[in-house]
Amino acid sequence: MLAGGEIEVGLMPAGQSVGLVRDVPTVGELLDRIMAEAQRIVDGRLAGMTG
Amino acid sequence: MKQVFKTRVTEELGIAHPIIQGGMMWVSQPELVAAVSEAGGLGVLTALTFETAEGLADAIARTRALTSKPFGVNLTFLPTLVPKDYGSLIDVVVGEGIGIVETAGRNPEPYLERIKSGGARVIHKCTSVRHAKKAEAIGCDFISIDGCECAGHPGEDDIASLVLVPLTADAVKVPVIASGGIADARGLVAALALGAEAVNMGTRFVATRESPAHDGVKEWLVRAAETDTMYVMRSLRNTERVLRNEVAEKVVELESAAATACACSPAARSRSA
Repeated sequence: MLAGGEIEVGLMPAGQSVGLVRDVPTVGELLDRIMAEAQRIVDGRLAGMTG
Repeated sequence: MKQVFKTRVTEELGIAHPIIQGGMMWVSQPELVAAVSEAGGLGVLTALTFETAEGLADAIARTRALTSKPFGVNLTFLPTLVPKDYGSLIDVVVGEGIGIVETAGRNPEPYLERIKSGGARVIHKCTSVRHAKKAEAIGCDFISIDGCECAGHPGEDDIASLVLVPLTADAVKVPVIASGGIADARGLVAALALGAEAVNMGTRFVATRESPAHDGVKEWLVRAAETDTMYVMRSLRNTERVLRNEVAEKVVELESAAATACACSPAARSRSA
């Protein structure tokens, strides 16, 4: 079913994090985005809370 | 993207970012694996996807043609009726000089010495603090701990990552990789705060351009809510988290009717691939 796209024909493993999946980027775009946002969280949001 | 976090996992595995694409049956193919490694994470091929030693060797060669960066191979030890020929798969892993092996499923102890004979570092994926301590004791180099949010087999304890990751980090000295529930930067930063040295993502990588999954599956993943997964096979103590569909609902219905042995046979499972 992963190859055929018919999501009703079998059992497909999926995690609860599926709720956080909102697009289909390239892997490169995904990792760049995650790392850039992680840096903003640490240096911006979290640092702002302790600073 | 320059390195943001230097952790024990990035240092010991020689990768830029503390993000691992965990082994996923059928999904973890060379194009996806190489893309993750090229992007600075760690891609992981699943040995059982390729069935034979020749198939695995071919997949390793195809991955190496796409990236010169580190990638791993997953060996999942399943409780199958007919024993799989793990020996020949391990021979390929050792012979090809694979430096990182992710083990999952049953206790890898019977195979560990052979896997490590070529110098591979072993990441053991497990779902409880008890199993994490055991894996460390037998010589695994990293623990990938799977909270019950995860896809596939979450174990039977139902402990979510927010509790399981810090307890595991307290219980073992080897680096811990947080798995289950992570799909974005917030999950990554949270996991590092919980004591993990890296994260493992599966479902998130299925919905990428390089993933071999059909576009229809990727579109479903984009549309799905956090409530669109469910457990099957709990009554067999072989719980699996899958997407919620008619087949999964039927399996649970049959389980509750105690018709478990038939519904969850290898034949029913094979239709899912």
